[in-house]
Amino acid sequence: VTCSSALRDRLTFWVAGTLDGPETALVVEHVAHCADCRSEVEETRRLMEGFRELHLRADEVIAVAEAERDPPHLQHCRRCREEVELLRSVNADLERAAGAAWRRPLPVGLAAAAGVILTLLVARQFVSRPSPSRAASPQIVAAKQPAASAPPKIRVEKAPVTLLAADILVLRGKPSARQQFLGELASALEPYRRDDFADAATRLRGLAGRFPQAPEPPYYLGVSLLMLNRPADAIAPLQEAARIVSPPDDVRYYLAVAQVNAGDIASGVALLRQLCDRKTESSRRACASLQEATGGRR
Amino acid sequence: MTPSDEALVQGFLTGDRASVRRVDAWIREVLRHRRLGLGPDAEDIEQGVRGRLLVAFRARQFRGDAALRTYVWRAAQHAVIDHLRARRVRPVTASLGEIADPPSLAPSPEDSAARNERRAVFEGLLARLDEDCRRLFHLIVFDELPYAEIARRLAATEGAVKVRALRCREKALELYRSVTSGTGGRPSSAGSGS
Repeated sequence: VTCSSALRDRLTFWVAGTLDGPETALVVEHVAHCADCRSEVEETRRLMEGFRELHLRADEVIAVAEAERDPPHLQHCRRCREEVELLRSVNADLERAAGAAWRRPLPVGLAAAAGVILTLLVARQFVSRPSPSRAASPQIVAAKQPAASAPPKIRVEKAPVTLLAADILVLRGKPSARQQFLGELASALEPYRRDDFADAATRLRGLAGRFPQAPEPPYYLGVSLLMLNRPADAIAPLQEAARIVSPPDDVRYYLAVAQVNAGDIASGVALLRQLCDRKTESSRRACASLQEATGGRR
Repeated sequence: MTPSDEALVQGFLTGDRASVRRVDAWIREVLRHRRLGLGPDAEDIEQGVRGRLLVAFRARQFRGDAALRTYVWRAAQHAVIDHLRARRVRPVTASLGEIADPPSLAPSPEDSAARNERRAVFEGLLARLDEDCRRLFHLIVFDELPYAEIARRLAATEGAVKVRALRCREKALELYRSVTSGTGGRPSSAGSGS
């Protein structure tokens, strides 16, 4: 390439479609008159198209949204991450709605038909129950089983926003990196504060990838996934948060809840029992959840 | 396939009103979801999903691996993703081939194989770039961020980001040329390094 125009350093952004209006006009005018740049733009366009092929296809987005694990591409790709999270939040609601439909009270005056309908509903539970997930969540699996063997489920409340490891960041982080992290964390927690957990999960997942040394993103990601009724997905980020920093009771508590609600009753109850036995201010909540998980049997 | 699902599919294909109503209700469960914010577009998308389902049912693509309701949900979600992608602002120089998505619910094995091969080439190409360039391309291509925002994220000046983008593009194009040389500009998997 012999072109020495300063505008060459903007061609990548022009091809990516992220250049603003006035600069776009300058680049367009230059490229119109510069054969070197035209040829480079054409090559760059093919390169970018190739990179864009790494985006998940629509059917792959759907499959990933139903799966437990994310492919590596999601760590780098905001667009696919957002699409997957969007579908996951839709799926969570569809599952909830499908579950609620089974529990909807019968209209008054249909008492005679109630027995028949109930029988049909019970029978259908054993025949087929739609789920958007091939690897059905533990709650859905539980709903297929007779009520007597249904695993316990602990009600979850959102964790308050606090910094878990600010001291580590203060001590180890460079001032600019620390400031950047805190700014991005505040932004990622904004949807969490207004209970938009799907959006929060999307942002926190991205943040966790960029700041793997910070426990807050995986912690709040785990809590967000729990609030989205996805306990199985919440376990890994909560374990990650616990791995990063000597886990405070809050992290361990939500990990225990995720384990119980995902069907790993033994691990969850053992952890809850440890927390409950600590007899601290925060152990009261663990004791109450332990009660829920064990039905009072310790 | 459960007998009830089979009966519904048959009913849908023959225009049985109850079956069509049931399938429509499942489509709407997805399309009317508040988080999707489809608004008036939902109706058009619904028509599209019905059309796709008709084609899929006729071609016996629904084999009962999942419940019919799940299958319908997935078809609706597929249409939603297509719609959201089409609604995004496209890069100015995007080609038509890049915008179009195949209308079927799942690509053919041949399409998948060809695409996987192309993906391997470009994954390999990214992998052969240094970490700085790889990260920069992630921000430019996947996150679709303007250079000012990238500069903010990388705690660098805008000028430095533009220069880095130029250097990284030159390196990537050099690798791309080595991959595509002798293939008429189309990527081949040879020499991808992946």
